[in-house]
Amino acid sequence: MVPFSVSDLIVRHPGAPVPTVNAVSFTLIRGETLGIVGESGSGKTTLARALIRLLSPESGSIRFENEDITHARPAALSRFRREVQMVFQDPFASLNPRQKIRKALTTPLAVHGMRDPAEREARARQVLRETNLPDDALERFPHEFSGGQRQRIGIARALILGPSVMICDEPVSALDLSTQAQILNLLVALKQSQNLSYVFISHDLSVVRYFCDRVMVMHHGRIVETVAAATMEADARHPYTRALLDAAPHPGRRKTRNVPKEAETTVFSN
Amino acid sequence: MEDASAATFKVTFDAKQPASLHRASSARHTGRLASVLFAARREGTLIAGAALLSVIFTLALVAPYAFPGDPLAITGPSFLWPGEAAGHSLGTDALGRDVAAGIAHGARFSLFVGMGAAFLSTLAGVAAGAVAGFFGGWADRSFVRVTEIFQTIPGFLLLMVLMEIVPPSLFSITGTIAFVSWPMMARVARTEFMALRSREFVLAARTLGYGPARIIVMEILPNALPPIIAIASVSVASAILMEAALAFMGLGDPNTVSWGLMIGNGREFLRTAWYLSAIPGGAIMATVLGFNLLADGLARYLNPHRADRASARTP
Repeated sequence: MVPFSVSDLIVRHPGAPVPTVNAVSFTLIRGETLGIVGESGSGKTTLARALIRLLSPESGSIRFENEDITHARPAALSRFRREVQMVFQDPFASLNPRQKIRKALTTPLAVHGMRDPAEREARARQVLRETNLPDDALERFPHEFSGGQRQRIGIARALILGPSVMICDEPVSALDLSTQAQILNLLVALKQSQNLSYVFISHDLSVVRYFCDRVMVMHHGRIVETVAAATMEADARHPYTRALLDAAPHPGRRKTRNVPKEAETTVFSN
Repeated sequence: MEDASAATFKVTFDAKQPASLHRASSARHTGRLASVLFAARREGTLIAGAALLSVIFTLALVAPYAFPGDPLAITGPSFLWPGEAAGHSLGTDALGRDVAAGIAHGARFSLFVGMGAAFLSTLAGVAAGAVAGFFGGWADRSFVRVTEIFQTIPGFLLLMVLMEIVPPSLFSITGTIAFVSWPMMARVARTEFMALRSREFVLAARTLGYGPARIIVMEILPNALPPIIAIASVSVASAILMEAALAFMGLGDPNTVSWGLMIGNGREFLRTAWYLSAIPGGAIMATVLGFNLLADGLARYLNPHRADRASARTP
């Protein structure tokens, strides 16, 4: 079954002359990790927020497991909310600073009808273990944790309802390099143990190549190319993708920036 | 991001005030008492405001025991100056009523009106501002229209007109003052809710399926409280001033003693017995100053970017 099937999606911020996401179509296959790359302002985050229905699209359709959720009302989204969760970019902003971790992890369960407090507590402890966090994390406030630990808490919160799809919006870009690797390894492990599919947004090509199966390249709100992550270097055809690849730091290559003038003009005239 | 701003703050703190930094670190070494004293010095406005208000609250609490009976009853000869006769420490007014009893009983009235009006206007203002700021759209547009109407009418003028209509009593005065002052609180709450509703932890709550009521009360409100508490404290002071001005103009309850009424009664004798206006005037000033100091101190104390809060955070 296909978790997500998106066609001709257009998302426009109020008052904006040009849609931020413009005629985007794609499908997410069960069990895959689909990367979305592009420079800042290319519409990656807006696409992610439209997918999870934080923003309402102007037109087009989003189908989740063959059910049209494009304009579903909040009450009808209840199952969708349990199935699709999001990991946010900034681990400092994504946790309520005035809430203990217990509350952050158990409230979603109460909202979705788990009535027994002991059961909620047990589930919270379970996701803490799955994300390699200590049990006593429940008693603490977000500011008592490091950036990497907070991102683990963000992942634990996304796991708590037992989702099948996780949308990760630059989940490691706010972290330092050693922590990035730990979080990425955790996500890889969770994909196996929880049978997850990922939509993984990043501007970091080395992360995407390591982590993803397929990569969609976004530019000015459009998807210009979709390539297999493993063979991206060889297969990428679109000049914007080539420019991104050339702009990325590359181990063993002397010149790190090698964007010919003609390529640049082609890229930005789109 | 917060850590970075805390770090830059520390650097400037370092460079400009090495002496106070030294005090801070030495306080940490000499133990608890010293650090409490150091905190008290830094939170000076908070302590001063709380001290001033505790005197006035004590006065209000002991009034029925220290000055039993009706404070508007005639108890001695008229125009006794403060200290002139035993038993009338603050003198008597034109009718021979004890000024000290009026001040003490008036404190009860002023504090009740001030805190009651502030409580009601905070409740109404935060509710309206939260709905407008969180939902936006037509809720916000109609909210802005309503508060603009209030903004174009001078608040005190509206209060005077309303007090001509409703019979003056403790509760009607409190309610009417709350009615003219809720828009200020509502605007503060609206701004806070608008800023917080797009924060990532609120987006996370929405993706988890939280309903709007839960998001407003459990997620946003606790983070919007510091400015709301500070403004509420200021609005106690402004409600006390409004009540005093009403009573001064004869629009208050003539059968209840209040500081504004005492000033109004003393106005005719300003040249011969100025203490009749000056003493209740001083009481109002002290109370308003107390609440303003408290508001200032609270705003500083509750600010999450305080230096010591930042350094307590683990890196």
